[in-house]
Amino acid sequence: MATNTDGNAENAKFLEQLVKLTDAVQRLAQNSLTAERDEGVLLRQRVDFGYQALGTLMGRARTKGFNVRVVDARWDKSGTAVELFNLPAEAAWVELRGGVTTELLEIDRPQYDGDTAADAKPQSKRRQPPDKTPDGRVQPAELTSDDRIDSLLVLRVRRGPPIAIGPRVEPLQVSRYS
Amino acid sequence: MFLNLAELLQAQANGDPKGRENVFLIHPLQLSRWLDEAWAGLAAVPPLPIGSPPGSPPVLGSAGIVEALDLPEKPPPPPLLLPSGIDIANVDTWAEQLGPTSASGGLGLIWHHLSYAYVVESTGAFEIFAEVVRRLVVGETLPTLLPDAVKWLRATEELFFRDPPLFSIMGTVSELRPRARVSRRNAYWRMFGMDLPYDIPARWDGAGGQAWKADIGDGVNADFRAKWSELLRQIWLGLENSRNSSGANPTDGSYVALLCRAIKDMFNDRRRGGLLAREEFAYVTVLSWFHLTLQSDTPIVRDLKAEATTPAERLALLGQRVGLTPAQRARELFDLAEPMSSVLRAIEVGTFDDPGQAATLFDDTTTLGEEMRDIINHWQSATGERIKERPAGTTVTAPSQPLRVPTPGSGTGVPAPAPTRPARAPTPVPAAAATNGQRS
Repeated sequence: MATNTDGNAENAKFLEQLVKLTDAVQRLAQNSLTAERDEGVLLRQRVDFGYQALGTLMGRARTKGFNVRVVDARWDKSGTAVELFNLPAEAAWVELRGGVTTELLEIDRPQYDGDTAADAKPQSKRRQPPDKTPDGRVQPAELTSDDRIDSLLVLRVRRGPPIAIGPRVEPLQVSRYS
Repeated sequence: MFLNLAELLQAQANGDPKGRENVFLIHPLQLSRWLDEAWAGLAAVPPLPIGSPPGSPPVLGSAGIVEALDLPEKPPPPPLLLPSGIDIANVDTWAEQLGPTSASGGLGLIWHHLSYAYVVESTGAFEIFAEVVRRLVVGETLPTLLPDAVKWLRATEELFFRDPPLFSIMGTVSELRPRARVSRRNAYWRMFGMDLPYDIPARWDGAGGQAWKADIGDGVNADFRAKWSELLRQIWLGLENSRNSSGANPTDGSYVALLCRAIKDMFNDRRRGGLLAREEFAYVTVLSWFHLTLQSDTPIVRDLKAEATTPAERLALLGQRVGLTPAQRARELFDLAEPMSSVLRAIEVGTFDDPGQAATLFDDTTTLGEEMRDIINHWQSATGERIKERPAGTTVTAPSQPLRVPTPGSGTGVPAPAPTRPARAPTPVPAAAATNGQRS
């Protein structure tokens, strides 16, 4: 009787270890799959956003989802930072591309305290005059104010889904605000 | 083209769809001038997140074509060259400024792909409106118009049925290519290897017939249709199997990307040096005007008692007024025009060059995946070509792909396309010329 009990306990312990091992192997496999899947999801989100931006520029109906958020941007007067206007509340990172250089930068917005009033306005009215306080700024390390920034993409998290797009940013000397 | 302007006017009207109709209240002189400004608007478009190489306009085959044909940087003073002066807050005025050249927040604008013009013109809309305008200006066989519809009539005739103004970007008619109808067919034939599914009405045909095809030479994308259909078929396979968690999955993202690259290369062959860029702009502009006219119960639609709920129904009622019948599948064609144009533009930009990117086409959790499903449904219904069905059998396994990979030009890798017309192409039926004044 005691032997049976010991044997059952051992079996139960063995079974428990087996379950743990199986779980561990499964987790390992799932993590690998999840990472791969996440890469794919991120890429597809980006492509889908690009497609929606294209539709917005082609004049497709906003009511059908072709209403990509547009931010405004310019080099600041010192030429060391890019000022961002009309940022969505959840914007945290910006991807800048100029020529062959791509920089991913976290948005610095110390004075930001919630969604801007401009968020509630229709897009066509949202362009800020240049003397307004920017919603945020980034300091590129490689791109300088002599470079043109060809594209500007606003992200929710570091590698996360794009949530807004910006215009080309001209070099400081030829900025439309200068 | 006018769809971009309509979107801006709707936004200006706080989203009220009636705001779109304000396009028809703008003076044709301003609209004509604005088209030159809109052409230049493409140069401001930034590269999209995926695709187009940074620093170049995203489309049209040549980085310099927009600048080559746009207005001088410092235009001469009025009256030699006036800005359009369109003020979207008040369309019945002239402001000393350029009109809107951005679809949204300074990003510039892009016009639709030539496929948009082809698909909308396939409905028969152009010929029906041509007959409506003709009857309104030469006789009294149609009801009297109210002032807003008179504005539409004047603008339509001046913008699209007379010689364009000198040195306009719309100037694709000249002594050398005098008939716009033929010029459009020429462009469709070169880009898609497809002619419109109906002949030019006898009244406008002259003695030309199909002679225009002789001028084109070898520069025809004759196998576009075969590749496009194959792409839709492969995307459908992907959509069908997108939620498979076990078992076989014939979806092949690499093959879809290969097809996209083949179509991109095919288009770029026709666009070398900016060829067809200006023509595409002009033809898309013309057809977008008529498409916009049909999108709601606009003044001309109301005055001709053609109110309805869809563009196809409005077109059919307008056709009745002038004795013409639109395409049988006009509804599907109208629904197809914009999504197909967007996808072909995205393909041209290089959005789906990579298998991972191409997988978005059959990811039905995305806007694009949903849109592809609609495109497949509309294309299948409009052309009668069965995209979703595969041959079934017990002894022979139906291949999910052709044996050879696609090539941009030769057409040797995939079955030859139908020469000119879809199998069950919509066929507008022009009424006899002598029926002027009679209702069919």
